[in-house]
Amino acid sequence: MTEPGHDSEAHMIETRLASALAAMRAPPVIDRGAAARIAAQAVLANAPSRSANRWGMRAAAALAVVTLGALAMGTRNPAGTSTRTVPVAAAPVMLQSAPSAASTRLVARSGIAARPIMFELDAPGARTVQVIGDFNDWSRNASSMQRGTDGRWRVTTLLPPGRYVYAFLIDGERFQRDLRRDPIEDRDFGVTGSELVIGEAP
Amino acid sequence: MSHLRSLRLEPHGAAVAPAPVADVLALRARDGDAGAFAALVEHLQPRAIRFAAQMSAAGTDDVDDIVQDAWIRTHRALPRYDAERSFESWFFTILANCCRSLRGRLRRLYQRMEPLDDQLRDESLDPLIATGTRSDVARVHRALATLPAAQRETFLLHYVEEFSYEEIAVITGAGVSACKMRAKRAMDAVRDLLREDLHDD
Repeated sequence: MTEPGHDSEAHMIETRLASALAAMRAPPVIDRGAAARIAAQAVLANAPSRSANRWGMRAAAALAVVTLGALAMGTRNPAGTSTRTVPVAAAPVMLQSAPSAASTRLVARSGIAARPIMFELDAPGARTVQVIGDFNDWSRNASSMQRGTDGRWRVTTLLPPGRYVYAFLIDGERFQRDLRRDPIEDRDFGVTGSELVIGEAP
Repeated sequence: MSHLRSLRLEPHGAAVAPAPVADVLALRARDGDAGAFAALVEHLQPRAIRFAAQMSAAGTDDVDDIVQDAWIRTHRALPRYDAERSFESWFFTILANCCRSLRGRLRRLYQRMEPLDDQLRDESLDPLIATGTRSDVARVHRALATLPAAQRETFLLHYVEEFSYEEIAVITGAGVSACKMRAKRAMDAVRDLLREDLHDD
């Protein structure tokens, strides 16, 4: 027969142990942009040299341009937001935002594998941000961006090679084009967006 | 984590376990879908960081390097991924190997295992976790730091990553009974430390 004190001590240990294990199981918050970069680096690290030299260098060059541009320009619009769109050769596609019907049609029509493209917006004061464009039929719900721990909003979507017009929708009411790219009017939707051209893979 | 997989009922009433998300993504990635591989990284990255941070005697940068290395190796080995096998256990085999490799490098450097860094372990926790629970987590980590690496690894794989002993046997290459023994000894050590601390309070 065990003593009452022993039972309560054992109970206390098990309670503490259970709460500690529950805390240890809580997954750490991971910056989605970091996951994208890790995936891209893994793909590039294992790419055949010819492919890596061409597509990999193209992605690295795009990242370098974006980074240098951000440093040099410090782009700010009157609302205090800056934008950058980062095409990454092998960044992730978010499963939560499945390719739109338009995107799927493009894949089927072109017969060329889509590429993960990461959109990124520096808008620390925003409550919600979506990237909308002709690739998702300008849907307000198709590509919701997620705020990372660095305050930037990101989403990655699969896009086959082609030319696209897109813009950001901030707080569900304000359109903003990507200031780092050429402005272009979408005649069907009436929004001044930015142009994104994704070239053919090597 | 076969024991955690949910079941769905087929129209004729037979229970069928749906393929885990990671397995589906891995097959697509194996077939050359770069987007699927990226989604795979995003899906498993929190668990990878959690395991490496709690397993390794390393700084934050080293944890990132370990996990990055694991993903590079995983991507390289994808053409050999067996669809009959759980991708999660396959990936953790590679990740655990990367953690062991780092331990080996550190051992050669310092001739002994350094205890897990409290700050690093703390950073791996959800910031909303209560202070009292944080103390208990610190006690568990302190107990784990005193254990042989194989016991610590088995403890984390079973009680934190929630793999079955059969899956841990595949991941670690040890027998099922050895895995059970390692987990029991590790758990005994953790309970002993919690008991000692209780008496000290």
